[in-house]
Amino acid sequence: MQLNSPPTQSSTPVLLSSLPDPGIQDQTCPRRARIEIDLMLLALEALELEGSEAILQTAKELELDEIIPDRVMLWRLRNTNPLRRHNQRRPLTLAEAKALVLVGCYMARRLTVLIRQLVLAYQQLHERNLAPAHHFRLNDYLERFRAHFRSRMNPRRAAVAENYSDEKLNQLALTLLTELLFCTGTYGVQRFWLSLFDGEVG
Amino acid sequence: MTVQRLYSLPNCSLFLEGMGEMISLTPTDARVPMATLINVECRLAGEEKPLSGGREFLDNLAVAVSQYTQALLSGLNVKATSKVNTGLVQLEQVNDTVHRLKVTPQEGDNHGVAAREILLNTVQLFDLVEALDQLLADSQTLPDLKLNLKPLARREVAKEKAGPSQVLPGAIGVASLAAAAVALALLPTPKVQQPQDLYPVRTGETATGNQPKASASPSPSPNQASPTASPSPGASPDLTTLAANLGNANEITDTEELNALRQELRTKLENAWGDRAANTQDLTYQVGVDKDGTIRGYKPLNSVSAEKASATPLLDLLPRTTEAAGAMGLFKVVFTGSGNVDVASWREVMTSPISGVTEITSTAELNAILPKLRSAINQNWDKDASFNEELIFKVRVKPDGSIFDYNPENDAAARFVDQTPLPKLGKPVDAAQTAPIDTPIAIFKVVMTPPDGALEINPWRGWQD
Repeated sequence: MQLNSPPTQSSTPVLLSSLPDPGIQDQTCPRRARIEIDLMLLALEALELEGSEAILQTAKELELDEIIPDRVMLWRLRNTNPLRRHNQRRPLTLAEAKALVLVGCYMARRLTVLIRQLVLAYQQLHERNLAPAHHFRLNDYLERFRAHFRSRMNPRRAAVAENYSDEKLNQLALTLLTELLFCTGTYGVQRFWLSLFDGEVG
Repeated sequence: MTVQRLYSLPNCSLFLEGMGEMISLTPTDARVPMATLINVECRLAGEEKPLSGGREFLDNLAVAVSQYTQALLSGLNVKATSKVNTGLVQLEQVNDTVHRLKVTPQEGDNHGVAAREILLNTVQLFDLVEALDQLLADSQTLPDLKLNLKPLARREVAKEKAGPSQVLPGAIGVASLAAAAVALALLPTPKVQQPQDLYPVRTGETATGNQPKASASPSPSPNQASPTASPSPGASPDLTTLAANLGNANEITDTEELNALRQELRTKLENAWGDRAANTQDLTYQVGVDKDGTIRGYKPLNSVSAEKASATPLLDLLPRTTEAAGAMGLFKVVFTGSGNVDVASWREVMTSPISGVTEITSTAELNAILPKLRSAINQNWDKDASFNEELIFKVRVKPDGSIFDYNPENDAAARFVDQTPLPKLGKPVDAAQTAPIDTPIAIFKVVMTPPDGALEINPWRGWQD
């Protein structure tokens, strides 16, 4: 009994064409893009419990499940991030990267209210010189982000080791939160997508 | 004819007044396209007077805001962001959460634009970006104004960080990650050679006709391994080979990967298990899955499971070839008599102190025990706790709801265990305990959350459905 008949090779999902090709030489993602995409999804997982389930669910909703069919594939794509403990030495194609970015931005848009609240809370605390930990929900996010980051990134990589302290990771988490806010906008996906290739085109 | 447009967000509204396209196709056409702009007003929260100007101001504003946003997103320090085409409008970062928007009218070329400096917080900035983006996306308003984004070229990105006023402090984290990553890229990547001969090595146990040699020879004769190494093609894989596969493979140990594989395996088995009503007993197997999620081998853990293997979907899911698998994730799979599939990481099952114990996993039984445990904890606890972090415990519970033992699962739990009722109700896990436990045990995750000691109890392995 074979349930999974091989998927018919249909054309690339329509949604992918909403993102322009960045005009880089090869069709695979540069290093910084692979890091940023994975970190952005990591931040979403810190915002939303069962985040990885939500990623798969969203991929299905957006009909991108041909590219992100299951957990194993998702794990592989995300592990193209060179900072991961289990870095996969495979390239991340532009189509795969687009799918991840679309899913991430779509999730961010669904979490708009929460993201706005948290960015605002951070601002207010920052104005009063208070640590982000004073805000319950924000602290929750930061704690989860730190835990996710530490459990998945390779501390033997200098780039990870340098950012291992609570303070540095909080800073990174807050930067990502701001990025997520901008991802929720009308052209959020396009803006985030093209920002991944800044400084990469000839 | 005059046309007006308003793009309104909580902290920013953009009000445009302009001339409509003369050719209005139908008089009922509600939205006449705006072709030329007369005036734009940008109202920002907290500012009494709006920013206003003509087309040049709007163009400059749109470009400056767009470029600044991209720099914020990429975290890269951009050379001369504000110099190109954005003469009237500049943006710079003040600190993590504050951005300065400057409007400077050019000498002798005053388009009714007054010099202004406005501090925006990030949310206000976002609303400004969003108002402008909605305008850009609106094809009925100034159709020639469109989103015009391109990744910055290599030469446009500053090589070194400029003075603190231009650096984006909020982005330092990501930027330094990226910078270090680039530096690391210059190092040669060590080539990892996958060992070719992982399978099969256990020849002594499974090979037939293998006689122990009196004199240990350093090079075993090649035909020793062959009987199991190459089963005749087309034959269904035999059990010994499949079981041997498990013992020989490199084990995958990364918890995240295992978790992904576990859920994948569970879904696969759930979908493939057809006639589950026919099964009345718990059938238990150790199953090995390769990195792709393909089942590479299984081993029945008792005789019933061996006899009834054909009642499970395991055989159907095996690939026809028995080629050597690389690293494998190992799982304990139980096809329960009640028609459920339970998949747990083999390592977790083996390293947690439950070996030799019958574990209660059925939803009905867990459902019956959970309230008993909850009331036992609640009754013995005044909740006047001083801890300020979540306490997480793994608690093993007998069928009557009494606690067998417990184990703190995070630091806070270990520190504050004395403030919880658990020491009164049970004993800490004894790592040295090897004697079998004679009652079945249910395992729960108990979480106590400050400030009021809210109690959350869930089955350790989750609910089965």
